[in-house]
Amino acid sequence: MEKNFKHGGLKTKTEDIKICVLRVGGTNCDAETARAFQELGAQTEIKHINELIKHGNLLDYNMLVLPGGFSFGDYVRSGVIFARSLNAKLGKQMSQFIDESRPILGICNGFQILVEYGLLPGFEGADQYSQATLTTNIPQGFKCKWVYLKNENKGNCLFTNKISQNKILKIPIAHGEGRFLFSVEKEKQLLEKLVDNDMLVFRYCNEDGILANGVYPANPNGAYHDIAGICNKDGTIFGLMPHPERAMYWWQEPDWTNKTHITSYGDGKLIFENIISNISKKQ
Amino acid sequence: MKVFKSFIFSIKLMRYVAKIEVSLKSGHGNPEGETAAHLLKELGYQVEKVDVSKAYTVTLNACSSAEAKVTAEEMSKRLLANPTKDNYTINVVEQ
Repeated sequence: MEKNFKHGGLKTKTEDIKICVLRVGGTNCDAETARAFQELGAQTEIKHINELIKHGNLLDYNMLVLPGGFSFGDYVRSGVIFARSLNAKLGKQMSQFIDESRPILGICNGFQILVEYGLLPGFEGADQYSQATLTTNIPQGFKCKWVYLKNENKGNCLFTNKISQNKILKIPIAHGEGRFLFSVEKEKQLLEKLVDNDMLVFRYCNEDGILANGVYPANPNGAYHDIAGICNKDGTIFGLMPHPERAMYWWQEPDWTNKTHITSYGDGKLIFENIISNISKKQ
Repeated sequence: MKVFKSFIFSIKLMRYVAKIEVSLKSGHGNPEGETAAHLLKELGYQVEKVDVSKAYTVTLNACSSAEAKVTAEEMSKRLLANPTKDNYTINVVEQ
């Protein structure tokens, strides 16, 4: 392994990349997420948190993925129990993992975990108390549908920096608590910080790329500023509500039977491909 | 050492019940309350508004009511409430 790119971190050959998809009771989509990374040639293991604590080490991996689902039954608040448990049991390893700029991806419930942990937005590293939340959708209810996302990141995010700015991605969501919010008193100030530090990544839009402006159904959950995904200041930690692993292959798309030209992969692949290419050493 | 031991054993822990109520801060929308209010109106009730909160009843041991309250405050900040969207109130009683 050797030091890599501007973010620091560790680079290795694609086939030597080791990814940990961390699960607890209530996690789902772990198999699809692991499959997506395996498709791209990385070694991917699905590990239960207790297995990692007893017999493993987070630092054996190049990347950590917190997949979707309903960890710990979504009790108290979505993602909060997994976040506190991760901090209490693997806090030291997590800190070193983050200090070494090893990437962390949070999908849906994983995004909620990263926000509750204080890693996202994490303006000053890990916040003691979260500066944002992902709360009950408006309109209320569990939404499972395909949405359009606009990439507004200017190149800071390691998971999207090779995807052209303003590109529209079609990826599904499946959540009941995905409404991204800052506290009302600080929302303008924190949004400015998010944009200035190039931490804003995906925003909900319509098929033509026109931003949803808070209006349903393009914005499926009432998220502030149509926010669907953000990264930390270093661009190494990324969370998003949509599920890229459910848009990996052509056969996962709902309308493939109507198409005259079928591509091999869906838009979700772009995100997985992007991060793999960033942590792969060129041979 | 003897003095220290006798000091430790002289601390009497009491059982307290902390009622922690977590409610939504205003300005963030209240979809659950609005949905409930809508249905209650459909059922014929003269409802103006429904506010939703979660109540946790935590039984804990502490040296004093003040200490129990400090502990409950910490629990609220670390786990039960998200300061971005939630308010919380704590009421401690000795059991």
